[in-house]
Amino acid sequence: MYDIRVTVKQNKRVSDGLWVLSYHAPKTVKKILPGQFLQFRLTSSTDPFLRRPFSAYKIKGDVIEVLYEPVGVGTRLMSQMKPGDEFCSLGPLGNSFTPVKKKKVLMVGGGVGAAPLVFMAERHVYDKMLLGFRNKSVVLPKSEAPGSKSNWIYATNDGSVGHKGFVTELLEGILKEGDPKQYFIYSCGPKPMLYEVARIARKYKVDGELSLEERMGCGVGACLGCVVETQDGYVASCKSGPVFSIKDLTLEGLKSE
Amino acid sequence: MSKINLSVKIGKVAFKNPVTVASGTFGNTNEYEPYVDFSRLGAFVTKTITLKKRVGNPMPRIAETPSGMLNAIGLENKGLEDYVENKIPYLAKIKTHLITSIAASGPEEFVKMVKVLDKQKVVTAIELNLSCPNIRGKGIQFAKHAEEVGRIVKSVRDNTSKLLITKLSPEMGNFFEIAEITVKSGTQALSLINTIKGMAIDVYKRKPRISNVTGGLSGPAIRPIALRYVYEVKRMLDIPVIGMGGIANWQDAAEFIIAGAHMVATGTVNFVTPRASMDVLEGLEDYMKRTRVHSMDELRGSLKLPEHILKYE
Ligand SMILES: Cc1cc2nc3c(=O)[nH]c(=O)nc-3n(C[C@H](O)[C@H](O)[C@H](O)COP(=O)(O)OP(=O)(O)OC[C@H]3O[C@@H](n4cnc5c(N)ncnc54)[C@H](O)[C@@H]3O)c2cc1C
Ligand SMILES: Cc1cc2nc3c(=O)[nH]c(=O)nc-3n(C[C@H](O)[C@H](O)[C@H](O)COP(=O)(O)O)c2cc1C
Repeated sequence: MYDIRVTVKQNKRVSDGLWVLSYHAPKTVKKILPGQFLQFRLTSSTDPFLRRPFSAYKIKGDVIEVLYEPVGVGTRLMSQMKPGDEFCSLGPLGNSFTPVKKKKVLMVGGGVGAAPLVFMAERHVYDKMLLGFRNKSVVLPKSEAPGSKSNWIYATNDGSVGHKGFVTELLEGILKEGDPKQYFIYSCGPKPMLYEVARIARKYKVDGELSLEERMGCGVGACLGCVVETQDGYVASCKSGPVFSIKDLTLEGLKSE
Repeated sequence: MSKINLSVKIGKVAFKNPVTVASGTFGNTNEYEPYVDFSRLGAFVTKTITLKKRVGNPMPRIAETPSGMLNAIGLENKGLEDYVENKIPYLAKIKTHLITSIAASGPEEFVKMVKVLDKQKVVTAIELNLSCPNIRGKGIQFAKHAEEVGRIVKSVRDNTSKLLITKLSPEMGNFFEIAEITVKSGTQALSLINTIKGMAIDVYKRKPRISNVTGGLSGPAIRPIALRYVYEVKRMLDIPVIGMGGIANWQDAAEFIIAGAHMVATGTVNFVTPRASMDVLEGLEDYMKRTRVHSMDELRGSLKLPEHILKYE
């Protein structure tokens, strides 16, 4: 866990609405695992005040890449950064996905929730990458796939790319067809999507892990601002997570505020 | 150059330097271990504990606001027994003073807790958190009445020989009256200030940004208010103060010390810069060197007031 000043290497669009920012972090890349995240301090001013959490998306040599969508002050600031600009990166933080050997892996991503799944796909074999987006402008293009692109399947709300509807419908379709017991799920995305993934996983008795993207304060388990409900009560998602076994979470806790 | 003496004394306790951390902003045990050598802190302060476990408030618990944040964590903690069994063994290894922050529903519960903590050798001081603004309904309440506060402090004082600190918030309406009664009842230092109640609304959802509706505002946004309370309390009462509220760097810390604070704590800023307390410590030492100040006693309360203000005294 390092708090380091880093320099932007590249900051580029990969679709109309999605960006990838990269920076050198030789010590951090050696430690970071798929599912772990980084806390960025984007400015030395107090506005925005708190750090912003981002999952590691890809590792290329000494370089970390993060995938992001400009949605607010912090991410918009990020999209304006140029090669050579400096910011602070704290991490790697949190836990990581647990690799599985004997099961076929289904990845289910929603929006920028694809980021940690792509990192997982870079390091481990998987069967299918199911990705859901609002529409074409924010679709993560297949050219971003590490290795084979043929097992990337899309859903968009408006049908502009792939299946028209929710990515969780693709998931349920697959589980309905074959023996669900052969599968294991990794998923990351907005809470309503994770709720659906957890509900479906329970229905078909499939194991899996969810990476939660709760609003965070410190990112290290000190402020208790990002708790999620587990079978044992609240835990800080930054420290006990962000990855949780579906079994350990409650459906109630995954309901949106 | 002669060596700078950073140590400060409160009651009978000598702290190696004036820099500490605010309760609830530095974890319970090892959260900041990768970033800060705890033994360099003047003291380590743990998040407020209660007699019994508390689950805290539902999410969302925090919201960012200009130069600060609102929080309504709701004093989530695992309770006194867990603290003694599971936290103290770790905390005992830290080579600095330990300040244990506690909250309770009334004098009897405070006394119960203090009797247990009094037996813990590693606990240097007990900080009474009488000022958490995020608790609703029955149980632990924001102590509002001066007499009640007096009773709490007095009954705790009668049951421990540890250094006794009381933490107050400007939310306590009759603040100066309460501050005075805590001193009369035997508190040996005041921690100033706890958060100030605030609110933020998501205009698209038309919902409060935190589930508790209101929460405690902290961070640089409240610094001038905190500084004012430290200054005014020091003008009024002869009591050591641990100053906090938006301290983000050594300049901020120096302001509180010049206004009269014995010690200073970094709070919310730890979330943004985990090393903030160390930056404050190093910056203060360097500032003292550069301005030829040799000891904390020399710097503390050295505020130069305008003539016309002094005349009124
Ligand atoms: C562990 C983790 C990993 C993440 N990984 C990525 C990633 O790889 N790529 C990426 O683009 N984003 C990721 N996020 C989300 C990202 O941190 C937020 O989008 C970012 O903090 C928003 O900052 P902002 O200043 O742009 O938006 P703000 O101006 O702070 O907020 C814009 C709007 O989004 C809402 N909002 C902000 N954060 C959250 C949240 N966590 N949950 C629900 N609503 C929220 C706000 O209430 C507001 O309405 C991750 C979050 C977590 C916790
Ligand atoms: C997330 C959070 C949790 C806090 N929890 C506690 C607590 O448990 N007990 C307490 O006395 N103060 C608590 N505080 C208040 C701080 O200790 C401090 O008094 C206040 O935040 C002002 O200082 P700051 O602006 O530097 O943060 C908390 C503050 C924050 C932001």
